[in-house]
Amino acid sequence: MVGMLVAVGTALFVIESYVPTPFPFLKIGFANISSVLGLILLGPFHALVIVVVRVVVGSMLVGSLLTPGFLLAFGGGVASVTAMIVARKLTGRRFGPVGISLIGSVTHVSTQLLLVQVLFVHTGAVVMLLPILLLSGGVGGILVGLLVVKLLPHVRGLL
Amino acid sequence: MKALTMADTALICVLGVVVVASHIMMSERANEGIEILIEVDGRPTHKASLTTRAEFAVEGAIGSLVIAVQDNRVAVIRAQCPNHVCERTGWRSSVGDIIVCVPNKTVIRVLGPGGHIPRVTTG
Repeated sequence: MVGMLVAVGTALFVIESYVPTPFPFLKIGFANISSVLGLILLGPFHALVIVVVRVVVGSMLVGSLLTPGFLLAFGGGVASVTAMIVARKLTGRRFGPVGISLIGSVTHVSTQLLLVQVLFVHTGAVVMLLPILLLSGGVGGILVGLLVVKLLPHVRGLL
Repeated sequence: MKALTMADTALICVLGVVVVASHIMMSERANEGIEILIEVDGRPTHKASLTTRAEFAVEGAIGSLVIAVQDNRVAVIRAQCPNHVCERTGWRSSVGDIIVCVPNKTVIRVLGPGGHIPRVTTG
């Protein structure tokens, strides 16, 4: 099951990296489907494994391993899955897949923005991107969450 | 299973508010620190923040100009010069913008920090 979710996540990650967007930093984050499914069906530890393996293998496949972009993907991914795990631990079942995925995607974009600020651009100018990143992250998070809601019964059937 | 729980809906609303609020904050901050500088014959005569609302009467080389600053923009609204190119330049607001009246040897610059957004590719 973990292997399947890693494979699906990696495939989505790679495919999405080839989809052109108006800005390179705007994307839906479909790969997060695998981590949200993993978190809900298998628990925190497996969700973390899914994200780490997906980012490392996915970056290898698109050729960005150990580049600045990889650092952002890795940092964002780990922070986002951590936030989703914590949110689920603290609130129990109050958040559905949409809420969990939204928390994940918002954490993802904020962490990346922070990393860009700290590692690459030392001016405060990147903060100006926060509204558009939150908006795109929010839309992406909701979309991913709704897809997870649709997929959950089917994937649960495979367990 | 229901698509959205109460908490999900609340979270979406909170995020919506944060997006709008941060957008308003950023666009205000974006204009802070931006100044307009008026120069006649190379000498600065007036300096003002783009966020103020003001009109300046400037004596140019061959006549006078009226320069207005309002709604985070600047323009020459009247000028005594042959071609009125400066008037037709219209309202300017971005850092680096410039309005020039050649006969009056007058230059209006929009000055400020930044001016471009860094682009980063993430994976």
